[in-house]
Order: sequence, then C-alpha cells, then structure tokens
Amino acid sequence: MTVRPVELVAATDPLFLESLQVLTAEALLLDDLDLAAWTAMLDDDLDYRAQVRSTLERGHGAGFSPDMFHFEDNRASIEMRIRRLATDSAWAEDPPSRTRRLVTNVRTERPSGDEEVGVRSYLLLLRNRYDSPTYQMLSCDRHDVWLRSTDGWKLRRRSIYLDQTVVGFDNLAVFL
Amino acid sequence: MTIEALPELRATDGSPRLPDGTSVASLVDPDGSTVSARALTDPDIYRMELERIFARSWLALAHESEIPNPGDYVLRSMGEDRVIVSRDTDGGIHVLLNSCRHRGMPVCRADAGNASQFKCPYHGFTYQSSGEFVGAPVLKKAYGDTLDRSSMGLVSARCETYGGMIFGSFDPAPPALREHLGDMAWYLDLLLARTPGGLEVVGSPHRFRVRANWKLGSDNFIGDAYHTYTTHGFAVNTSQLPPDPSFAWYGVQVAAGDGHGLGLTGAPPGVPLPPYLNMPHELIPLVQATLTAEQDEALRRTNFIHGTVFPNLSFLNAMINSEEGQAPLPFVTLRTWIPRGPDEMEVCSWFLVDKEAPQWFKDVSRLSYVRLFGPSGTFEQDDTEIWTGITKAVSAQVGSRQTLHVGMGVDREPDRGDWPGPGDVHQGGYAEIGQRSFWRKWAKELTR
Repeated sequence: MTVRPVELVAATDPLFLESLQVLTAEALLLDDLDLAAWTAMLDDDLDYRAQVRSTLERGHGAGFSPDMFHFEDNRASIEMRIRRLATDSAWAEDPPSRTRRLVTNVRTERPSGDEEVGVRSYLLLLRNRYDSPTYQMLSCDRHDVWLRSTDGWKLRRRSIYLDQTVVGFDNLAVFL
Repeated sequence: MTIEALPELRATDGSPRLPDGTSVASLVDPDGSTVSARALTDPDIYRMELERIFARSWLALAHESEIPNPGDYVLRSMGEDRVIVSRDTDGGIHVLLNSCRHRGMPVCRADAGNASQFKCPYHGFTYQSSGEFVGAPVLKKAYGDTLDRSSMGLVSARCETYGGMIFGSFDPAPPALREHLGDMAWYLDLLLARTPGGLEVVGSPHRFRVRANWKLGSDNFIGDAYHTYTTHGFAVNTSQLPPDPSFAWYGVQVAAGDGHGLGLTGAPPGVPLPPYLNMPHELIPLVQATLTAEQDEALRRTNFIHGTVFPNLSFLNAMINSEEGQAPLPFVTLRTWIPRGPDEMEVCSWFLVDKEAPQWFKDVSRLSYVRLFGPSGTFEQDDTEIWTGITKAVSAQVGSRQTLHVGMGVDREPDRGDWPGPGDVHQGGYAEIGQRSFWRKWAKELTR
C-alpha cells in the first residue's frame, strides 16, 4: 500500500464529480448483477488485484503480502469468472447474494496526462443471502486507475486493500 | 513448561456418551459407511474433538520456508489454541502456546515477524524464541527465590517436520510423525519432496472464515472426486473440465494409513493429457532423479491429486486453466481446516511451488491457484457454498438425526492393479475409501 501523498483535485473540480459518478454507476451495475455492462467498463489491459493481509507490529508496515493475492485477475480471467456465473451451476452466487456497495471517501488525483486518472475510494460491501437477517460485511480501500476514453471511463487498474486479515465472507464470489 | 506437567485431559472411559446417552462409537458405522449427521455439528461432540483430537493429534502448522531465519515466527492455531511457530537462534523450530505462563496473556500479537524474545505486555514476563523463560522486571525483588524459573517456560508442543511441513502435537508422547503418516508419507513425497529443494510457500497464506464444520473440508479433499462433476459443473461449460461425467474416474483412491487418504486421477482413455501434471520440463529430470522409480511412475501418470492427512491437513495438486484458451497450469495448495466452533472453520490455505521451478512458472502457477482456489477461487467458492449449506441443514433437530451415506464402493474389493504406490488401493475415482478411513479414525480418536 503506497503512502505517498497524492495531489487531489478539489471537490468542486468537474473531474472529481465525474469520477464520483463513474464509481456510483459501477457500484450500481454490480449490485444489479449487470455484469455485461460492468465488463464494458473494464479496459483490455485490466489489472485487478487484492493482496493478502497479515497483522504486523506497528512500524512493520500495513501487512500486505507482496506476492499473494485474494484476486489477481486480468480481463481474460474476469471474463472467465463472469462466464462461470452465467452457467447453471455457479452455486456460490446462484441464487445470487443481495449486495449493497457503499462507495465513499472518493479522492480523485490530479492527472499528469490526458488519459489516465487515479481515483481512490472506500468501499463498504454489505452482502445478504437466503433468509439471513444479518449481513456479511467487507470494507476496503481501492486505488484505481481509470482510462478516460471517448467510449467512457474504463477501469485499467484496481488495487484493493482489505481491512480484514481473515476474510469474513465464506467466499469472494463477488467483485469489489 | 513440559506437556507432562499439564493437568490430565479428561480420562478416557472407553465408551464416552453424549449427554442424551448416545454412545459416541455408535455415530459411525464400524466400516465407516454411515455417519450420524450429528457428528458434524453437535456442540458436545465438538468439545470432545478439541480435547481428544486437536489437543493430541499431530497438526500441520506451517512450512519451513515461512520461517527461514533465526528469530522468524508465524502465529498459527492448534484447534482453538493459538501457537507461535518459531525458529530459535540455533535454527531449531519450536511450537509454543501463545499464553504467558504468569497470567495467560498472549505474548505474541502479530501474525508473523522476527523476534529474539517474546515479552508479555501485562507484567513483562519474557521468553526466548525457544520458549525458555528469560526473566521479568525486578524479578529478585518481587519474587525472592520463590519463582521456579525452570517451570516458567511457555507450554511447548512436540514438533517434527516432514517434507518441510511443520507439525505440532500437544500429546506428551505422540507417535513419531513418520509413524503417524504411515503410507501417506510415500504420497506426500510426490508433492513435498519431488525435487531436491522441495516446495516453498509463496507469500502469506489465505485465511478465510467459512460457516461450516471443519470436517467437511477434510472429508471432501480426502476422496471426493465424485463431487467435481456436479459441484464444479460450471467448469464443464467454461471448458476448464472435460464434458465426460466420468472424467475423475480414471485413477485410484487410496486409504493411506490411519485416517489419511487421497485420490490420484490420470487422463481418461483417448484423452491426451500432459504427464507430470504439466509441470515445466526443466523440473522433470529433477523429479526423476529425486523420487523412487515407483513414485516417479505414479506422478508421471497423474493429472490431479487430492488428499487429507488426519485430522485437518488437506492438499491438492491440479492442472486447470483460468483463462480461455490457456493451457492447464498446475498448482499445489496445502490447507488446514481450523475449528472455530461446531459450525464454523477458518481455512488457512498455502500456495506452494517447487523451489527450483523457473520464475515464469512460479508466477503462472500462482495465478491458477488464486483464481481457482482460495476465497475468490471459482472452484473453492462452490465448495464453501455446499459446506455451509450442509452445516445449516444438519444443525437442525431432525436434520441432525439423519444418517449420512459414505458407502460408495463398499461392494468393490481393494484392487492394486498396476498402481505402483502403497496403501489400500481402489481402482476408479468414485469410491469413498478415504472418507470411510477418515471417519473410522475420527470415531477411534473420540472413543480411545
């Protein structure tokens, strides 16, 4: 997890509002299970990853494993995951979970060029299944790089930083 | 502190009974072919498991490559007890109960690190990485001569390694680990000791909570080739598995020692699959020079290995692609199913790769593992869905009174055929040989 200070655009900057809108739209597509439309938001060179985390003593870093991941996906493997969900035996998500992705604390970095823009956000994912009256919860920070194209914004890189060392979900059959 | 000095575990009475009078021995049919559903989630049985299995049996905790240097440690679990697996200044490995001998506070509160000593944050009692008591603040003034320093070391478990895997046991006099593993040792070599350098763990293990009983993991991995076609049916649609419902039949199921078992599946007739699970060609001569001729033959013929070492270490070496059109890439995972209550477990899952493998292979092998197993793994996802479903259904009143069927293959005699490996070998992957071996051992441990 990088701790380098990033220069953020002001909250009144149209770029900030646009990135807020993109993240909100993305969360809605995932919550609505519109994975085809979500896939259309992914860049061909997508790098989507979430490092495994450990509890370490203060001063020894945030505990993210440099070489083990909960997700380590590219566009082709994400498409494979989505093709799986369309089959009639993707039991972990059929019947599907009801999810609510609450995206907050959005920080839009001042872009150095025309194409890429870094956007960071908190995600609180509430997941409900079957007749459970309670939720499985997951919170994380996400560091994205979005590509601004004529065809809308495309997600090129997402690094997901979980708060849990032991994932509390029975599985990560949902996207973060 | 020595384990002998701990108070005796509850005395064995030969035939323990549950509070309602049910004999524990009656939960499992003598040949293991039926199991009371109650065995999965009954809280009284769970407490017995912690006492009679997890506080006695050899338990896999870590791999030596996780703690390569003096002072390295990782925090792990033996049942619900947390233990420090540490390497001392002389290179020796210790398994220490993470609880101060003074008042019980954990002396280590990080998952991993390097420390020459562990200091309790309560009163400052301090221990060597070997568990030996070092001292405490103003010890002489506070205690005079009344503190028996030799009795103040951390409770330490017996510790032995096999193929780089570190095992601990809280039994004061356990059988030698090699003896405990029995015929399984021969098969573990096919993964852990097939190259001169052996395997190494990459990164930190995956850890995730599954709301399911721990035995469902052991029972599945030990011998359930049969579930693959249905539980992981998606993979036929995505061309990650062949469309033949018998694809996991072409191999052997083996009961390999006391409660251990595994299955080794090869290519279906007429389907050309790469030998040696499609390992990179650089490794093949190393394997041939390291394994015995019989072990080499077994590995050459195999494309899929799954198994369990009693009670809760499972392993998998499979070759599956994670992208369209990609060659099937092999990976090795070892995992423990750690009890966290009768209806919940923590999975600790390691990805391992041959030390001598080229870096490109280490990278792509990890990709296969992460995408197919571990919490986001498309295969593992569906397993967790099944296990949580079972746990919920059999925790209910009538559900718990069912008898579950573990009888597949009872009509078939052991048949070694031309299989080069030891154990109780059965031809064909669809036989619950391993599961019956597991459940018989489970009942034996609870009633001995």
